[in-house]
Amino acid sequence: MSVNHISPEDLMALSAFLDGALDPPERSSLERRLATEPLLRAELDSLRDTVSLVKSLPRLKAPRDFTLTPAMLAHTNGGHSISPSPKTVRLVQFNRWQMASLATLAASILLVFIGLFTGFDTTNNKAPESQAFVAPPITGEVNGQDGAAKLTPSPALSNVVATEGTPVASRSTDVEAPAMTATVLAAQMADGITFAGSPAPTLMVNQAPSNDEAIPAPIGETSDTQEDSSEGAVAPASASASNGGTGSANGGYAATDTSGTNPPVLQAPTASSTSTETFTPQPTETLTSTVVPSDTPTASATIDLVGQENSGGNKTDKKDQDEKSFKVTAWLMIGLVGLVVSGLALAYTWRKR
Amino acid sequence: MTNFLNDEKILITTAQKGNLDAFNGLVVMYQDMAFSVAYRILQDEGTAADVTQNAFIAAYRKIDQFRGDNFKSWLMRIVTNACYDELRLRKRHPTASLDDIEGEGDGLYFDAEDETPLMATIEGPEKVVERSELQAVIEHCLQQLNASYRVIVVLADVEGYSYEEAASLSGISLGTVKSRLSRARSSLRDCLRKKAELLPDQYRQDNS
Repeated sequence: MSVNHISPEDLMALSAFLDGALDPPERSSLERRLATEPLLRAELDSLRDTVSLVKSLPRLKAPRDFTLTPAMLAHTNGGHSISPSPKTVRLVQFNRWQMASLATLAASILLVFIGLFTGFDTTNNKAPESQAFVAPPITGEVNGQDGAAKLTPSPALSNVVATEGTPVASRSTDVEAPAMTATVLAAQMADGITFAGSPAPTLMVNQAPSNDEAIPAPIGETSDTQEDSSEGAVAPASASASNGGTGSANGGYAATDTSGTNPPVLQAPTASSTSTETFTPQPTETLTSTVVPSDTPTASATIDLVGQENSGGNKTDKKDQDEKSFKVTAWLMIGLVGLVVSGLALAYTWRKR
Repeated sequence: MTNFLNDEKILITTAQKGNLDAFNGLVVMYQDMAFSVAYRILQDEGTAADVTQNAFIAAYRKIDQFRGDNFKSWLMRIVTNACYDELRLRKRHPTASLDDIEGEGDGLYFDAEDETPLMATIEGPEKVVERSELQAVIEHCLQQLNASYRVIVVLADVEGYSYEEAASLSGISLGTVKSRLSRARSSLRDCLRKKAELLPDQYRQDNS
């Protein structure tokens, strides 16, 4: 109603004066003015009354209970489930963090080794058909797998290997495949497959019925950890399909296998890096999922190899020579990238700890 | 008081280990405050409840990042940020009543002549009866403020935060806090005077 003739500056000074937020000089100057300017004093009084009225507002009572439930956390997080006993979860999460990093690291090293071996072998034997020569790579791979298995014990893997009892030749073929793998990999990555674990089950079903027992485990784990378990399931199907296609097109090379092996490795880094940078609070879960995949992929890789051998048989090495260098580079690059990423993840984990 | 603080500290430490029950102890401690602030900033109970709930979830997720000893401030920052997010969302997708967050120019009131039912601004039968009328008027006048001014009034006057704290919580500069607060108070004063006839004698005496 009453139009105040108070300038904004004076208004601000009065307001701050009420809160005792004026500098001593400003304050004393304002006090002098207040003593002589009734208008200013009236303004101050009305402001003071207003403030005291506003301050008299009671704290409202929450209309409901806002306590959190595990379901609520799972829901809001877009599916990341949190088990009822948070303490346990946290421990597990921490372990998974480390395990994920370690698994990625191991996988990357494995990749680099594969790349090196492949390069070596290829240089020696241009033709992938000469599987006998290729034998060394196999060893490398097997070792690598063992290493992975140690990190994340996967019954499926051992089962598969044992059951399949694949001829050395086939394995070597697998190892040779990298070039194809690179392509497949790219395709898969384009698909944005986050869940390496998924492809494995599908492949296993196709290839080895005996491994069916192993399947449930990965699937279960994946769905538990991942929000998009359903999507994951779908993605894998396409992945496997593409793999099969590639494999057959390439003449039954281990391309499929490679894809199986590669995705995990690549994915792991991706997942870990993402989580590290973006969501500090709940990175663990993301990583957790990563760990699982890494296990599964290995198994699937093995299976794939077997399947490939059976179906595809041996292929000609016409392109191999051209491709070998590319293969080697691809493997090495992938491995190195994985190394760097997993190293960062590890460092982050430790620092966080 | 010491016990209370100790309890809080223990709850925080336990919650930081991932214990949901401990965190819920903190929720119970602060949910009225969080909801109060959210409601008074957003002026809508349903939205305020959602924002409060989400703020607690966010707080749980990053409680291991909490350092220091002022959990209340830390939590309040999360709540205030959630409110700002909601306001920004409203601004981007205007629905029924929309206020301009940035409050450019003289947009101190977002719709000065828009008469909203006074009593509707306070809900809950358990409100203190004898003061409810006055409260309703004050809430109404608060509601008339542009959100960017209202945030400051809620933080500084209703919740009693210092200028520095209010600036930190709202993410605006100290000078802006001061100027917005002074203008908001002046507007509130005018609004209260306008509604003076609705108020008990006590207030008219106070204010004339």
